[in-house]
Amino acid sequence: MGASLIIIAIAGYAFLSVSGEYAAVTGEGGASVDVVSSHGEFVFSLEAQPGERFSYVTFGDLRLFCISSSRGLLETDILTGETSVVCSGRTGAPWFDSEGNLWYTRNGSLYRWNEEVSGSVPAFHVSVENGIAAYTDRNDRLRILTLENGRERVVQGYRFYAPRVTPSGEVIAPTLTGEIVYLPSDGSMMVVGNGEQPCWSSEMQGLFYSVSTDDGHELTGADLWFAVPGETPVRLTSTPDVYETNPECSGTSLWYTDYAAGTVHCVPFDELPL
Amino acid sequence: MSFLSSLLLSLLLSGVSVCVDPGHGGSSSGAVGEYALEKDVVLEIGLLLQNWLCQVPGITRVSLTREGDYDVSLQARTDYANSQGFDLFVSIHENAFNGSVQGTETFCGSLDPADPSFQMASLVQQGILSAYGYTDRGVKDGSYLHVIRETEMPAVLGEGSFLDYDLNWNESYLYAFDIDDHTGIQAWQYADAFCSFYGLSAPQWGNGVALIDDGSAGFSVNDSTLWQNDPSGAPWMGNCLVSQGGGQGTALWTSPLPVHGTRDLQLWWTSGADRTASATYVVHHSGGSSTFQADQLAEGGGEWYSAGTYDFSGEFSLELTCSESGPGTVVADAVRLVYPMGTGCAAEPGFQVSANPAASFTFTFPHGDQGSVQIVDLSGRIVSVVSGSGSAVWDPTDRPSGLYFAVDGNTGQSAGLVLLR
Repeated sequence: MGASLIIIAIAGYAFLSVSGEYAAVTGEGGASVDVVSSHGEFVFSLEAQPGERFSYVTFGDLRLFCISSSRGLLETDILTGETSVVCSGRTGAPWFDSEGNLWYTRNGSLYRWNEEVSGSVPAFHVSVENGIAAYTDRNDRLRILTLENGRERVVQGYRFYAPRVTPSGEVIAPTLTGEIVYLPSDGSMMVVGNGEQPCWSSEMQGLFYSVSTDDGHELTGADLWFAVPGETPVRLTSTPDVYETNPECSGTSLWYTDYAAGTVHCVPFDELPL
Repeated sequence: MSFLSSLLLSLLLSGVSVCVDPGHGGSSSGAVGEYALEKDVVLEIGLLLQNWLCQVPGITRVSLTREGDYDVSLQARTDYANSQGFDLFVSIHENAFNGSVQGTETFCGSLDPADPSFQMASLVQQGILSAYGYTDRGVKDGSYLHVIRETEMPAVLGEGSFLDYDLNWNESYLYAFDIDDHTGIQAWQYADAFCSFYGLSAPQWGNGVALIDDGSAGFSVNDSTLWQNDPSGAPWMGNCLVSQGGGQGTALWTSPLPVHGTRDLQLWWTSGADRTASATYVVHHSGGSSTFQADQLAEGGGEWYSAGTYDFSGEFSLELTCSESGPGTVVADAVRLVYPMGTGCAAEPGFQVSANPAASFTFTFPHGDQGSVQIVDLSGRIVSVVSGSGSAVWDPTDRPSGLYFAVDGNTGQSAGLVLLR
């Protein structure tokens, strides 16, 4: 793989802004959220109050969203540092779509900013793009909801989690037994690979994912793969000392975390061995 | 009100959800004992724990990261837990060293006494210590462990005992044959620790029986000469009984403790070229008795097979017969009752609750169904039961201010109710 740019040493995951110009990373124990640019410059740090813990960070360019253990769903302007509460109390994980909308669930309903869009999304994590919402129910079935007409497709046979909708409305979802499932809008379904943490790239018309190994207590390795649905997956890395996890795509680059070193890396697509 | 108290009250009002993580599985056996493997022991503990926690008002969901003997990566376990937004993550493990060490240790993300994971780990540690009486190896910093490092919620990892210990007794033997409820004790200590932490009423001891193995309490055969131990072919927990032919035989699994609600009946037998294709079982449940046959030849063996879902109202028993004329040998190994796959506490939400200015609470049942709701106080006492068709109303006029739980009689779904005067 081409030379990667090491961004910053971190203890958690990287969350990309919509443009891919910024990444937000959580500090150890959720005590802070740091924002860095794709050039490696430190931009902003949101520090937790005593006893507070940040989690489920997402990022909308110059706005950062996360759940505070004590204040609810927070929005922070990274230029001014001004922080406000979007919604107090318990909410689901925030999701920022490619059109600049914030989505989250609360009490079984789906909200876009402060507007209730659907009254029947009983889930914590929801992904929304192009009028399609994907989530898993408490039986770990995958549910794909068309917001316009409330029509819902229920997919079972695997224990799904953390589904993602692509900007064009397809759904990708990992399963607890390791399959990565691709569900195009025509109602079909296929397993495209085995691993975790799939993310879709519209530019590459395929998905990146991580394949990890472990000893039951700690990871012992992880590498990145790329798959175009219907084609044989391609292994991108084979590095025993670098544990590539948490791939995320911007319009031009692949970002990932080196789990072992605690660093975030950014590689332009044209430097990938594809 | 402290931050922790605020957090706990917030969780109580919306219910607590727990992710139970039985370690290892599939190709990863974990610690190896002479009679039992870690992956089997911790799965059994996890299933028992799920059964118990699902009975506790205020706990709305209990899910397992694995429900059988298969591989689940660490990354998938933590990503799953994070995507579901569980309030708590508990990973169940057993230890091993060189056969001469015994003790209990529990890991958490921080040794700060104010940290929720430390408090939870301390309760787990004290509970298992008091039950087993092994060496106290302490509550330890496990922030390097994947399931603690990568979970967004408070997480603990328990190492209840050293499975390979074999000096004054054989620890794996205690697990394999569940001597003195060795497995159940550990599961119950986890359950009790959670309930203590959240201020919930603990489940009744033993009310969540999950597994009856051959040789454990609740299992019997009519003729011990007919049923012989055959440890070959991947038996559950080390051995199983195989009919040797030449007589009419019966193996019987009964639950020594009551079983209430819907369970998936699952069977374990071992593989062999001489197995019967028509093992005949009779299960006794709340609707009477049902007879079914299992093909112990074609299905292979060495894994759990579902024999269907049944409703139980206290009693459970399962008979397996072998006959002189029947072809093939019949295997009597382990039987377990689990919540239907992936359902956690309740398959689907049941009632919706609303309050009116007169401070009564209305429960609306889906589709106009007949339903009932138990009102439970913080001590776990049922203070009222309301029922109706389509909806039911609880008038709490005679009740003092405080926190109550409403438990759906159909689904087990629960919701917190705050009564202020």
